[in-house]
Amino acid sequence: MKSEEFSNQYDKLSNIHFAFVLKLVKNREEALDLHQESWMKCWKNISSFNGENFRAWLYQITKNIFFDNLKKKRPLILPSENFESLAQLQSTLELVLKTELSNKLKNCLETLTCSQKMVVNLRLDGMDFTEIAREIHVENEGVAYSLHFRAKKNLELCMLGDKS
Amino acid sequence: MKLFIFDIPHNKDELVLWLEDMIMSENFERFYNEIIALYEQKVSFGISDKKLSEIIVGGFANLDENTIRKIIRDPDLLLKIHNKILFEGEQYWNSKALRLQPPVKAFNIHSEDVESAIAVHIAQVHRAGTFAVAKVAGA
Repeated sequence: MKSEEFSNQYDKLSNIHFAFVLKLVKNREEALDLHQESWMKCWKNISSFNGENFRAWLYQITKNIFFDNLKKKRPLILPSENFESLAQLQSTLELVLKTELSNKLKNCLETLTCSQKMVVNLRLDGMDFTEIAREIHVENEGVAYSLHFRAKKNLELCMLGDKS
Repeated sequence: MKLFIFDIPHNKDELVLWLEDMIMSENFERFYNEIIALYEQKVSFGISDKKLSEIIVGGFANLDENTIRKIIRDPDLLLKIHNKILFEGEQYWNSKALRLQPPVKAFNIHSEDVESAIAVHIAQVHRAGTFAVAKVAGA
């Protein structure tokens, strides 16, 4: 691959690759480093690219650097750094993305009243407050709005205060 | 602590933009975990390969609002779509990711020493602390 082709790949994939990197490291500074290091390593090893799927190769290189860095930081935690395929890399990403935050929020949801829970769910389903008021049999949309507002505040406070 | 799920828009066009931004956002992890907390126990929705391909090519705009809301209610499907976009999404999603203000291309395509040019740019970006768009022509 010539430098111009490489540059075209950079134009085509650089931003979305950065989005991918941000999911892995969750820190902008580290993401910048990993992003740039990945592209540099790709260029440096361009002669070993088999010409088939540049993105798969780029992501594989990124993954290798990510795990090498992680291994340096937390050598005992890593289950395996020998991932072979993109499917395995996707599973890795899934593991990275699932956090304790959902459990905490689940516990916080339990602190809401039944009416608040209903309003939150109906709102997420796309209903406006007039429809919600009708659905849960309250006087008007103002009451529904108020229930929703209190639910939101309670959840945010609960999450902030770690009351789970 | 801000909960992203409460920002969900109620107009379809805004919903499309909002969901696409959330998927590309560095806050996707938190958004995804909010969805898990709210909807994990519910029935999976599923989506046809044809619709999935449409999303990969051009985003969510061609889907009806009900389908988009169903996707948001299905954390497994949302993650599947998210991964597919990251691993297969092309120009449309690459443009979307521009909002993340990623590092700009700093090397000259005609330069023989791309590696050094990138390295120099990393230092510049870090020193400047900004990601303003600038191409280095003739570097």
